[in-house]
Amino acid sequence: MKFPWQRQDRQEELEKELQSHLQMAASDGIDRGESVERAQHAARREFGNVALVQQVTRDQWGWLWLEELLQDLRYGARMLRKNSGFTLVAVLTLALGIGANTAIFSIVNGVLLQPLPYPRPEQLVVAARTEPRFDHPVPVSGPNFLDWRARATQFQSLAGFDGRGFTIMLGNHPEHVLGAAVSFNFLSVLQVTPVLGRDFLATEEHAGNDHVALVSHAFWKERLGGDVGSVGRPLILNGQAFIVIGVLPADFHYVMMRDAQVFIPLNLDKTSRGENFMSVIGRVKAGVSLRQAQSQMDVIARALEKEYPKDNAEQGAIVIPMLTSVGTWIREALLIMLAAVGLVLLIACANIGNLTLAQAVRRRSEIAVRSAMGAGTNRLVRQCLTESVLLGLLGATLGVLLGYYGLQAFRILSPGNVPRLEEVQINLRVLLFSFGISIFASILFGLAPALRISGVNLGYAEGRKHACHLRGSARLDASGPRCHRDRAISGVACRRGTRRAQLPEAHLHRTWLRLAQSFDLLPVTTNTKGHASGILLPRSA
Amino acid sequence: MAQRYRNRIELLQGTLDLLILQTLQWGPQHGYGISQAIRANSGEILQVDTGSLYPALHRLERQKWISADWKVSDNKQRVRVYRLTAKGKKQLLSERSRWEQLSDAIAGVLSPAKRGQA
Repeated sequence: MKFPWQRQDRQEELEKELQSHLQMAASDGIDRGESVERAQHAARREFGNVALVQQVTRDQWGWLWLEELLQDLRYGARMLRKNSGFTLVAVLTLALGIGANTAIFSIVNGVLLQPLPYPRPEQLVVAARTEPRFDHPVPVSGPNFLDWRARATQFQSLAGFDGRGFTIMLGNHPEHVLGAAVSFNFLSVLQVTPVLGRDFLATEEHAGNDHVALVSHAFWKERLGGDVGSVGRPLILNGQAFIVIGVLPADFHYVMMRDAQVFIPLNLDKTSRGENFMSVIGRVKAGVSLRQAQSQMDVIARALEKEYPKDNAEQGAIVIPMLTSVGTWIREALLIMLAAVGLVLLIACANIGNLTLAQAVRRRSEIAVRSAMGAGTNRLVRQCLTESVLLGLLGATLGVLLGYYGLQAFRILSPGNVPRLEEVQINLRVLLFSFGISIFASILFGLAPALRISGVNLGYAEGRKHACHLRGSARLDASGPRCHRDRAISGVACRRGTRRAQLPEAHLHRTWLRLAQSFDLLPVTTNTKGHASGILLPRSA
Repeated sequence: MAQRYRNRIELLQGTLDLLILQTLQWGPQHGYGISQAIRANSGEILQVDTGSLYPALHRLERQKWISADWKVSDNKQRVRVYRLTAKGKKQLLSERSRWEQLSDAIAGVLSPAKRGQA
């Protein structure tokens, strides 16, 4: 296996090898008594087309695909540049489609797919109450939560959460901040520990000990001056003094209530079983499935129903993965939007498909000439698709840029209740998605013209006419071509061909190669490749 | 050239490989030598097209059935000489037996009577 950068050397070696063949053949001729010139000519005629032999030999080296790909890309780039109007329209159309998809997918990814920002996020669940008259999970009461927590052995633990607003006094200025009352094990369920100070203690859930508070890193920085000494000092919340016992990590936020800045213990001492107000989260034990957790909660709920028939009649419990729960209400809306922008992309594809089809019709003679010179249908189809993919990548690049701004716009315009919107970003997964769909799209809109080439094979029929049997110099030699002189490129080739028909083959090969190179396409592969055996009978046989 | 192409015998694919491997069994040889040897050994009947010979040589080299080296020939010319590898020898044996089976089979079809007698 030779690597592409070694090809040049190898190419020269091959040339030398073939030259040595020619020389040996010629010197054999001289030995037989032929004149030098005659022997050389005979050797060359016997050998055939040197460039052709080189080409078909090179085909055996592997890496040809890479070389051809680069060739296709170069050629495609040139074609796109040449038809800049078409390119501009197609790229812009595509960029709009890709941009919309990128923006929406980045939100879907950030909100619905991205793992929660806690350790072992797949173990995190939300436990909620079900009641026949509601078609969605509903809050839980204090005593029921305490019973759940005590009995749920499939969970590492269950924690309660109750969002609250506080009026805090900083100096003489009252301010409103959002926060929550949480059970003492709330942070341990999320597996988060304070960066400063300590977590709540179990005893702090009860009256007398419950005037303590944990604050977010941002709150600590902005309101407490980032002072390490502020831990241990009192904070006035709703007119009562709470001792700040700890500061949460800078990157911590609670996904279900991102703005919560102050956390105090959730004292359930005086709550009643019928008073449903709190939400419950939990972390299942390692290896416990959602189904196992659910069936245990079913058992607990049925038991509680029997024990407290007045408050718990017909009440069940449901376990939902936290990730699902976070995006519940917005999931549907996001998926509808994703479908909508998907359709936008499809429409864009259809439009570009039409444009490329029109292009393909315009470029019919080019395709015809290439085909006549020996470019196989596969190669032409590939060329077509390469151009589309190139177009697609251009569109994707611009589209991602548009998507980025689209996302900013969405942030500004959104009503502010989309969970985790701040976490949303154009990350690797979004980029992969964007480039993935752009390639998918380009294959989609590249397919129409490609199928046209492979199906009708118009190249072959017209090519024979336009390119005057350029397939083999032998044909030129033998038949003397007739051609349409009004066709610019092929016409020139033909006229040249006619004039040179009587000249030695070497000249023809050169003309032919030059023409081929003017299309950035080394001739053939298909015609000689087809000759499997390659064993010839001498002319007389 | 056109005439030459029309007169081609359509031999089964792989036959050229067999002929090359067989020729190299007599010793290392360059491309021109191989084509001359095949022509001579076939009583001037088989003429290997260079457009098939060199691709075949390079393909066989890639499959590691033959290896190539630059040598200086008797008349002081640098030539690329191919030799049979151990792997190539094995391949030659299996291709030979395949060929013999095939030619027996064809012979059988062409003259079923003989086969019946045997």
